[in-house]
Amino acid sequence: MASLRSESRPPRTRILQALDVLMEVAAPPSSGSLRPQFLDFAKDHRRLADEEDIIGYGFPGNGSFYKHRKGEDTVVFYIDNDDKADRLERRVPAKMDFPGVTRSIQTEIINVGTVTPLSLTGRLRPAQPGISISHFRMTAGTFGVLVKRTTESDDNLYILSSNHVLTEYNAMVKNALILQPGVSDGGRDADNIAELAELVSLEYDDKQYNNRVDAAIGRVLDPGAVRSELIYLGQPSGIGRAVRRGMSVQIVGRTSGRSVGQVVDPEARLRLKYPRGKRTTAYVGFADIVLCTPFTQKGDSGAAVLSDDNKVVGLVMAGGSRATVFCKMSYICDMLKLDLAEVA
Amino acid sequence: MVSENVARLAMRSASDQLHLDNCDEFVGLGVVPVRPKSSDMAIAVYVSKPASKLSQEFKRKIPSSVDVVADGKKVHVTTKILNIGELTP
Repeated sequence: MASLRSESRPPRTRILQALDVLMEVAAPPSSGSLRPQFLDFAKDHRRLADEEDIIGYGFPGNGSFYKHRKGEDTVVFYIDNDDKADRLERRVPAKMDFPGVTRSIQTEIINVGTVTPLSLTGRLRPAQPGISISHFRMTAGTFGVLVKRTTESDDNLYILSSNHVLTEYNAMVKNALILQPGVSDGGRDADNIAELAELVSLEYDDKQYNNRVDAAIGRVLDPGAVRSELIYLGQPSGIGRAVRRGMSVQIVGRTSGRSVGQVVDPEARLRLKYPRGKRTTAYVGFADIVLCTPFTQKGDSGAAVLSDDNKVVGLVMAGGSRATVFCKMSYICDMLKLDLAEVA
Repeated sequence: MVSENVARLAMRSASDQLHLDNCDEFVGLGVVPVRPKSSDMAIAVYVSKPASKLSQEFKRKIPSSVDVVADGKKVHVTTKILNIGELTP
């Protein structure tokens, strides 16, 4: 008996293109053998386009945060209120046949609640990983993830981000203020959310590769002022110690929002030019860091890097137009003695 | 066919032999497939400029392959120069 797993996945692009045509956000193909099929598909399901209760649609991957039918290919229609689900379930077919797709695709209706535009650069309380943060002097990076110490006597919560976001490249002293939002996003002393607790010091040297991470933690001043769920991605499922070539990784960064990249080299040895003092730069050599396709921008430093199964595998360090680099969470946890915190 | 482990061994050897740290365009070393999705691995020499802008002095320093002894055999590990651009924190 053939199992479902052995079947190839249906073409995602074609399904989304057909849904776009149906919901009238795109025109059907202007030519080609599938054009009549697209037109018939849109005609057959025309009433869905008129459904005001549908606020969105998609064809999410099997790792989708919302999907109930894990492991199945499902077209989803999003609504903002459970009361609408019963009514809509009578109108949305259980399965749909898409142009050029050999098998029928199941449908699912998912309530995502009221969706409002979210700013990752504004003040947010409780503060969540993915938003703007910085030390008190300048800049803005990203609140990476909420952590706790593995030492028994410490019940505090800590914000994990990059050394250069929380300490201005080793320059801050213990208990220095950490602001949310960061200073570049208008953060002021009144936005103080944490104080610097510990950093992994950056070692400047143009010939040695003695650094493994760019990381620091700030002790949260009011535990009620933070949540551990990442914006868009939810609670991380754990710490991932394996980073493999080709694996896809994702972040929620202060500048990029949610962004996805791919690992190119899981154990690179690179020297990066970091500011030293007010006017000079110098090399900091890192070993066993991860080189990825470019998927971050300035301001995403410190963002947690997650695998497809929502495990935290690293922290964004640096990037450019051709690559992004992150350091590994396994080193960070070992050096700073950390584990993920869970605070709803 | 060069495995990941052998290529990493060659990369560490290259790091000691090539003396690239004085070159401004040099960013670092790593291991990448010779061709996409191939399991034949090469040493990646990461640089911050396109090939056309690399100095002749730098190009001369990069051999086409680095030899390493693995399991008692001499293995040639290919080098690949890859432009990853300027990386900023």
